[in-house]
Amino acid sequence: MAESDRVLFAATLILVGIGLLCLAGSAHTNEAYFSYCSRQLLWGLAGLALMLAVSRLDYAVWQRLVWPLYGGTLAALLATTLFGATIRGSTSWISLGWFNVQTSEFAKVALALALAHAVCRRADTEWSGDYDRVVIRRLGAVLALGLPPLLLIILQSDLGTALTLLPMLLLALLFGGLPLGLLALGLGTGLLTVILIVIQLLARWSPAGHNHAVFITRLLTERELALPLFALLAVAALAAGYVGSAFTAAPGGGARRPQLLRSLLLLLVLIVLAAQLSGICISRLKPYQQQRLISFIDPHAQPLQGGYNVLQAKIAIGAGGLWGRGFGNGTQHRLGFLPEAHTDFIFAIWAEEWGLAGVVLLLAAYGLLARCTWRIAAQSRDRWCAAFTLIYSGGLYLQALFNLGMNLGLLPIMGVPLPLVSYGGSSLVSTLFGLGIILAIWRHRLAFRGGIS
Amino acid sequence: MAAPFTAFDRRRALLVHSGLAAGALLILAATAALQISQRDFYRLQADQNRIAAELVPARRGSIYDRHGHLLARDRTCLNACLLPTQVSTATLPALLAELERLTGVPRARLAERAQRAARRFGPFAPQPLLTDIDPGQLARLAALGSELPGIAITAAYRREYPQGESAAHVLGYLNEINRREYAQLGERGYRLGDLIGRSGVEESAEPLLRGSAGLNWLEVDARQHPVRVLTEPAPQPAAAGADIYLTLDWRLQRAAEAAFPAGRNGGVVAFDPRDGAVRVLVSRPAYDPNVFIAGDAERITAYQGGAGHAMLNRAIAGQYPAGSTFKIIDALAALADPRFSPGTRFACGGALALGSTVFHCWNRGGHGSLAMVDAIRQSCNVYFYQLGIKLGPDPIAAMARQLGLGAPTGISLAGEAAGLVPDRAWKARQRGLDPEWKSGDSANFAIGQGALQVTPLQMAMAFSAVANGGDILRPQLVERAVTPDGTVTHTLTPDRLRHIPFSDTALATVRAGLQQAIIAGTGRQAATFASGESLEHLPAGKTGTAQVGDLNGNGRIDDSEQSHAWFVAYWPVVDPQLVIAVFVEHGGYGGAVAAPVARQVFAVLDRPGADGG
Repeated sequence: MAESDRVLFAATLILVGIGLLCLAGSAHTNEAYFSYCSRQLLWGLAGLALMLAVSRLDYAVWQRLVWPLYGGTLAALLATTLFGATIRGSTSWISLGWFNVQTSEFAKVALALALAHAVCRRADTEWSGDYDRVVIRRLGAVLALGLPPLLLIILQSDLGTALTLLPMLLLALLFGGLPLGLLALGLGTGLLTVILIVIQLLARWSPAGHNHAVFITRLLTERELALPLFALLAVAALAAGYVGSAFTAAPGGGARRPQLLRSLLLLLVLIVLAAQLSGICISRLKPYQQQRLISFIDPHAQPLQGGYNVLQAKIAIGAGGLWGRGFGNGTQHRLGFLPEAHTDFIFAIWAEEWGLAGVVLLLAAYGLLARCTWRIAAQSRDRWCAAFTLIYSGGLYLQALFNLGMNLGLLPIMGVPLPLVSYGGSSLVSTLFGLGIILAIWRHRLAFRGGIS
Repeated sequence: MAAPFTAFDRRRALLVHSGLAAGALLILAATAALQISQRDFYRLQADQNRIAAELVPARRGSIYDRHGHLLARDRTCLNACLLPTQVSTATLPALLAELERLTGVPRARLAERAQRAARRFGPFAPQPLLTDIDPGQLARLAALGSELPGIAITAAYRREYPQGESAAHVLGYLNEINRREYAQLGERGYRLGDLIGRSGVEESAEPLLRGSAGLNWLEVDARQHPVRVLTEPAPQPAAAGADIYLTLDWRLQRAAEAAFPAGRNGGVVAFDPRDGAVRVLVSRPAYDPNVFIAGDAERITAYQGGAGHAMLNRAIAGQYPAGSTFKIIDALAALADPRFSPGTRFACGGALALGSTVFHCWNRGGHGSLAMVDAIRQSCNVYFYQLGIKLGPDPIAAMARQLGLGAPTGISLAGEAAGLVPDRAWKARQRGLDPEWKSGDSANFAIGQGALQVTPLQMAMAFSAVANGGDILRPQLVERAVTPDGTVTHTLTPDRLRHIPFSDTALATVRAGLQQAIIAGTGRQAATFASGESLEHLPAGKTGTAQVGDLNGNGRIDDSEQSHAWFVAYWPVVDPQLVIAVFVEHGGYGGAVAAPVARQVFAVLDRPGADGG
């Protein structure tokens, strides 16, 4: 069996190569893409060098540097929020001479390091004491560490990056011992919130907006809308039911009897919470974000505004067929029908030019990566290593799924790049840096340790 | 020492990775659905995004006279077009200001043209701002080409009528189809903004002249900029329209136009009585078809709404009393009746009293007793009053209709008038008139006055039957149509509508009368200088002076109430080659005003070496 670090490195190279191929396809006809491609190549080489260098370094360095790194990140995010450059509506960039750094991308690595710390501390005592108290304290630590950078990034109007931090928080909670019932409750509340936001937005923007009865009838009778709605409501209800039973269960066993009254009460709480949250969100959402959500439900409602990107991306992907239209030959991309193709919609380029075959290769590369990170986590020396590996890499994979779902119109557009593939120096270098730490964890798993507090 | 990967961690990792795997499978399934089962749909959409059709205009066929003299053609011209995909609304004002500086065309006018083009051709199509730019403008635009992004110089066709007003009513004119017409013409390949023939041959031969536009398939980018010309799908080349050779004879047309009294309204039409080929067709006042191409709104309005009614083709659509030219129809009708013969005589004392009304002869002194040939030669009114009264209106009306009066002749020009041939039944139908046909009506009818209305073409047709022995041929204008590859798709074939079985006596009598009118009668002005005594050079014809009466009721005959002048003739007496009708509105005496026009036309035919066939 191949060594995990080699496979991980190979999968990383494949993904970076895919990104470069997408950019190179139109580099000779499009000046902008020539520049993107050459910059990405430079950043890729620099990032890979950094990755290899970091992999040689004992990961204990990062364990020691966690708090300075985390504090420095918060300071950098704050500086960016206050003084950063605004590009495409987000104040996420801070200028460093001849290039701009997106601090929030590096914040992901620092946050994952800190979260791993929060989750693995007192690991040797975790099962001996009061389960609930340990878990609650740990979850509190996760939230206390996660929320400040999250809030700063939201203040930068960079919803996409904020959304990529959330999965890491979620993973940290999971590995920190979050009861699955609470997870279900949280997911249920989140889904219901999104549903309520969408419904309210549709009601506000649709011609029948003033007549809610008519609108809701339409919503419930039109099969395309009603089916997912009911499915999601059912998920939320099930989650609440599960929460009802899970809270009564002790970790060591005991009765797992669902309590109907408690379930219903929790469902009610969930609905009220979601309603409140959706109200807050709607008041915070900018008009373009509201448009995106509406376009997600009905891309043809505004084919030249909010729905344009997704419609064109789907055309590009679909036109690719089984084997693709060939390197540099995707008409949708080459002729400029895919806006932001080099960043968030790079998957559409890949799918158009390399077809389903290329998509399988891309998914396989991520699959390989995931297999390696799991093996590295499973064979790691201590729990911090496992937690960091799983939290950081899991965050990347979820981010990738968000991006792909967005490209395919399965998720609303949220400005999430495809890790390792999308154009962007900060994202590429920081991701390679994070993967370098994981490689170091693998390389140094057998090293002797004099003991660490 | 922290605990390594625990069983709990393994469970949670399994949960997370199962979720990830499920997500990846969902992505794969969604991608496969798009790329396998919906591939064709999306590929079509991608093609619709990137492929734009560019119209390649077809050259409209030229129009020539029968000898190849150019009357209308499409020439290439250069237009300066605004490319709306390369100009933003922010940069447009500066661009228009620069164009104004270079060409002197006000920017408001340019902006208006751009908007009009956008409405007509869509928001992305090139918008012609300056059409048919001259070399000076071209040089100035080209010199600044790099500073005028968004302006392209494109080649186009432009209709040109090198003869100006000459033969305008034969050629017709072009203008753009409107939205209402587009609804019907669209399926025949017309597009908004296309030119279409509006009258004349341009209209009647539209399907031959038009050709068909070609298509180039362009690959365009998201901003609709053309990137390249595609070879797949294959471009459709434009097919030029056929050239039309008219039956018109340019020399005769010019002679008629030059001889037509200046400033007078009226019409001239001449055709070959052997096959119906129209050689001359003049209507005055005329218009210049180039004005419609240039879009000179002021002059177009003057043509269309002016008092002169320049758009009216008087040769085929002007309806007038026939005056004395009608007398040959009386004679032909009489000679078909056994009660009459060429020797039938009536006496003229200068006037004829019918009841309380006195009908005068033009010669107040009287012609004395006349036989038919002399009556035609002298154009004696009193003779024909009596003949008409004795014969009655219905045989005369029947003969007139046989000869082509009272109905369109069928010439392939739009707007031909039918005219009016009255008879007893007609009068009985009229409200406000005494239903009974009186002898006074017969007297008026016999000298081509009263309710009778004819067009110059109808009179020419009536005379052509005398010239060719009784054949009524449909007048035709197109001699042949030749496609760009040289194929002749249309040739003139005589279209005999009917034959009138005149007796030899009838023909000989009327012909003699018409011939005598030229030699020693009212039509002397039509005799060519070179005619001498030989019948081969002599025309035969009849003048007419149709009174219009005191139109404005002021008790006297003003200049605008002068009689209409007619002259209808054929040439030569032996084997006639041309029949001509000349009509001058309020021109005065036919012999003095109309006959000289015919003489000039005959003179061209009579010239040695002239091609009379």
